[in-house]
Amino acid sequence: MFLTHFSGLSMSLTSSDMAAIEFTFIQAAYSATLSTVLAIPVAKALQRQKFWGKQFVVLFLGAPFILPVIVAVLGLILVFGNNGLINNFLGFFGFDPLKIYGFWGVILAHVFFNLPLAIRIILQGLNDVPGEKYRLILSLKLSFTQKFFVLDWPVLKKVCPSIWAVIFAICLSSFAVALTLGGGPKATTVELAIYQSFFYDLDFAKAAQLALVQVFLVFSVVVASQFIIRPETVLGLNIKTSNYSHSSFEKALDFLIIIVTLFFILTPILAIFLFGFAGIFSLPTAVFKAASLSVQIAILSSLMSVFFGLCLTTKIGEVVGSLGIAVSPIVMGAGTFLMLKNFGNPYLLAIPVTAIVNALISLPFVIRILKPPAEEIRTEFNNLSRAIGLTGIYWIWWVYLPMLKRPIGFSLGLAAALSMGDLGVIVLFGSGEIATLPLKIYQLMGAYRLDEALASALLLSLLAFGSFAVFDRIGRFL
Amino acid sequence: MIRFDDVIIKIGDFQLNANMTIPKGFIAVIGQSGAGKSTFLSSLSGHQDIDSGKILINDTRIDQLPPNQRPCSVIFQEFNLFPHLSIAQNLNLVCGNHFFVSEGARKKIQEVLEKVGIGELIDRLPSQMSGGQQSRAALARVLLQKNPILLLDEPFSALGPNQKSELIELVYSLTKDQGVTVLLITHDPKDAEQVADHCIVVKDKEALGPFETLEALREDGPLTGYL
Repeated sequence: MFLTHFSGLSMSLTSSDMAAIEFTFIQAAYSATLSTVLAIPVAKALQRQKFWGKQFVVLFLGAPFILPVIVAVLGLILVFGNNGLINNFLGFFGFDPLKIYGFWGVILAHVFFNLPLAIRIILQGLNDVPGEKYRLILSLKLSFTQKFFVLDWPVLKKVCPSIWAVIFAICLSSFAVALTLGGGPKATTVELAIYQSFFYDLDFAKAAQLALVQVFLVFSVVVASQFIIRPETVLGLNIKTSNYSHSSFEKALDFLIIIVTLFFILTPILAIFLFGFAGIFSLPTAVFKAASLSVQIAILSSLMSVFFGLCLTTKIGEVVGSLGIAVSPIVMGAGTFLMLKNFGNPYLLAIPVTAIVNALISLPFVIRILKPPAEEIRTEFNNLSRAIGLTGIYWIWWVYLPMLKRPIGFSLGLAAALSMGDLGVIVLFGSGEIATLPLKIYQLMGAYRLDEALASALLLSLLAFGSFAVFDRIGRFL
Repeated sequence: MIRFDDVIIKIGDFQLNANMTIPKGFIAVIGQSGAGKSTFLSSLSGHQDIDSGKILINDTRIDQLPPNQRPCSVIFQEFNLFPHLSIAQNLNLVCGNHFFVSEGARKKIQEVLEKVGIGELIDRLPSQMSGGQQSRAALARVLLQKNPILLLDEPFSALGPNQKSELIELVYSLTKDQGVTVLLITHDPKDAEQVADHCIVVKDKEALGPFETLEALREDGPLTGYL
């Protein structure tokens, strides 16, 4: 009700709008809770077991971050969908099939994306526990429960609330998942409601109201999370201890947890590769046209994102750049569309608008990558630069850019991959003529041309991972 | 001639006073750790602002100028060379603003590197050189700057005693006939004894002197309790 007169705008939220707000919160809470809770045993298993290829397992956990959402959704449908691997398996034993569309589908996809993020952060926290503490625990011969409360609980208590808050905020504005797996009166998020008002009802006033609600929701969560997220550095002498001994039961359980997690994360990706490969050589020209557009937008937006990022590697810059998290692509797109509508045909500006919005969306990540090394350069070489009068464009040319080339390459790769997979603003601005590859896949899915959608998804994955790898490599070897 | 006129520098609770006239020549700045030697030198180079007083060089006030507009070159304790640039590129940075190393600049750089004894290392990265060679490259850079005042903020402290002594001797030989005033921060009275005409002693929140080196190093001199 507070929102009714928010900013002087008259708001009339219907019961379906309220249901969308409620669903947005509930699915985000479920997704954040499940991702965080499930990540704890996996991170613990990864931390205490040493095995060949462990670093690759941790590396693979980063894959969902740059995997285009539409590809992941297709992969999840192949594994958990009506005719998917799991349901075939369940059907064989006479069990009821799982339902991928609706509430649980949205949760499943969100856990798929965010579980690896949670695992990596908890693992980092557990690895930061000073070796001295492990040495002490070893000498005290504590029970399993005692070990948990002495070693793990302090880390989890500190790390988990912030992970939960971050995932909750991400899930509040995860449009593509809701678009593909949600929908209907029971599984519509606020962003999806914005899209529906925009696209189907052509009710721009309603879309603007809902966009305001969405900004308010996410912004409140981001502000609230500032009180939860308290980063802390654990200092120790960095003594490395070999793993303390485990029972064979513990060992078996840990490996089972790791294998199940890898199965959950890698199977959908592998399924796309397996089922999409056959059709990739016979894709229609329109798909390659869409792929070409995606590549162009990705290059443009990654360059813009890194340019803005390089200009914002300060504390204030980070705050400014992080606004992209609070304002989702759909909200940004809707706002831009409404602004442009007054001046002409917004559809003509689909490409630059998509590139700019994608650049702003990846900006918070880019700043987080560039800021620490940029600050280090400024701290370490400030005296020398000032002493020899190296400033301005010459400082950028000789010092700033060459010393940052690795993080710049990594940022370009990340921003390009994120842009490549984005299915946000383009759904508002795109059309039959102007479609990026993710939008094309969505259209193919809607037309039940699943084989082509799968092959296109494989192409999109290759482009996303390929662009990431190419830019990253350029940064390393330039 | 360098003049500190009632200069006060404050950094948090720490305060340093300086009121002196420094003659031309080789001057050692000596004092215990944390006494304020680097702060004193930084106020002259422009890397540390002063809170009151004036600093003048040949009667021209310089304390409000940025570091690169002061007639001083500095070699710091660390971070004297950009690690990603070759020695030629590092030294080119003081040969005027250019995006590339010109043939003329390269020739000048080669000459000065020969003077400091590392002519063959012009295309090496700092990481491909020893600590002593890096110090020589930094010295070559300040020679190229051709400033009348050279400030050495313990640049050779990470080197062994023989190498350190050798480099101090090199600085001395390269600057003595050029009319360059050198201020060398050191913990070691032996360094002062080796080359310095005068010593400035930094202690009890004050920069004292300059004293003639022999006077400063006397048993009952200003360094009593330190020697």
